[in-house]
Amino acid sequence: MINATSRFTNGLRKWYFFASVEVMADRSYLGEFELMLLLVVIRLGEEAYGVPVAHELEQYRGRIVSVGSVYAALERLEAKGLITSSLGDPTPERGGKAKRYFRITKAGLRQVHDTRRVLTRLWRTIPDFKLEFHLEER
Amino acid sequence: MNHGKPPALATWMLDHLKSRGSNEALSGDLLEAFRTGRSAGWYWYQVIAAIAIAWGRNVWHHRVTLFFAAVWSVFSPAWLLLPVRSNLDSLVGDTSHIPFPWSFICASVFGAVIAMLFIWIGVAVYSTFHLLAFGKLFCQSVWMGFFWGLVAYALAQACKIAIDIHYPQPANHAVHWGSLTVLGVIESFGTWRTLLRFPYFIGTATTLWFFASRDKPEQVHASSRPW
Repeated sequence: MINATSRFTNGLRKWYFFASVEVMADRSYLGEFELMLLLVVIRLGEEAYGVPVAHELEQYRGRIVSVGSVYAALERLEAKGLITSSLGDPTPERGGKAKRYFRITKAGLRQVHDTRRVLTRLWRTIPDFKLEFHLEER
Repeated sequence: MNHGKPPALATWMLDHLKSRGSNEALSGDLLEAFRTGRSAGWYWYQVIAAIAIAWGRNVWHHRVTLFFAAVWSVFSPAWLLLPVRSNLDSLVGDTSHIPFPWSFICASVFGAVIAMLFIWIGVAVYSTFHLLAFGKLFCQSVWMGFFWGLVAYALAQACKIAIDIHYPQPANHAVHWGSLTVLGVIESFGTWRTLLRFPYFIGTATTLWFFASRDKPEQVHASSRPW
């Protein structure tokens, strides 16, 4: 009876539409914005909190960055265990509100290295003339 | 440097309408950036973007419950057909012989009881599906679910009535309604029947939003509530 129940439950898990959505949400690869954020957090070191992170991203991307989207992505990275966060002391210029500092974890560093290795290998496989051709086409 | 204050309304909106995540750090960051020379327009953009992102994440977090509420509300016209078929509608729901305002109160209570029964049967069905597909569903608050579900249903029902008054349904509706089959009423997605489903969708979605949590109680963010 227990076997039959577990077989039914497993079967349901397989066809149940939302199970696939759950698996998708747990993906391990880094998105473009997430990778940029990790690199900025590494670059800023001890000073990685919302304002400088958003400022650095704006400088490198050349467009306004929403601080809310920075926090959303950082919280996603924290949930994946790639960064950690801690609250600093409240300061008067911030209306008495604390800064939230972010630091990269070992798993985060490993992920950045892995992503760089994969991207570098992929870049090497693409000859320059192919990239130029596609740019001209656009 | 900008020594002035940021737009007060924007700050209020950020403090009260952003629902998830690090509210304090974000509002501190925006204030710091504003005081170092950012414009009021930039501040407004950041606040609106932060609220939109937070609500987007909130809706995504509750995507399964919202989808279920949409599917469950498809059956609501069939549920409303049951009191008509069982004559309960004319026995209990007929308030024409009672003077106003009691007739209105009785009709509202009867409608609310029917709706709450439908919604909570939906909650039971959802809990069972969740148990089979994902594991145990953690309950945040039955009373919050009941209260806000009822409030949301009542508001949506009031909107539906207002639309009904402005765009009246056909006069022969009652005859037509009585002659329908259960399957026929489920399959029908005409304007009026879709409108009929709307309060049930809102009621079920709100009840599940407050009642159900996929995380263990200690992992539920206090900020996952819609304010």
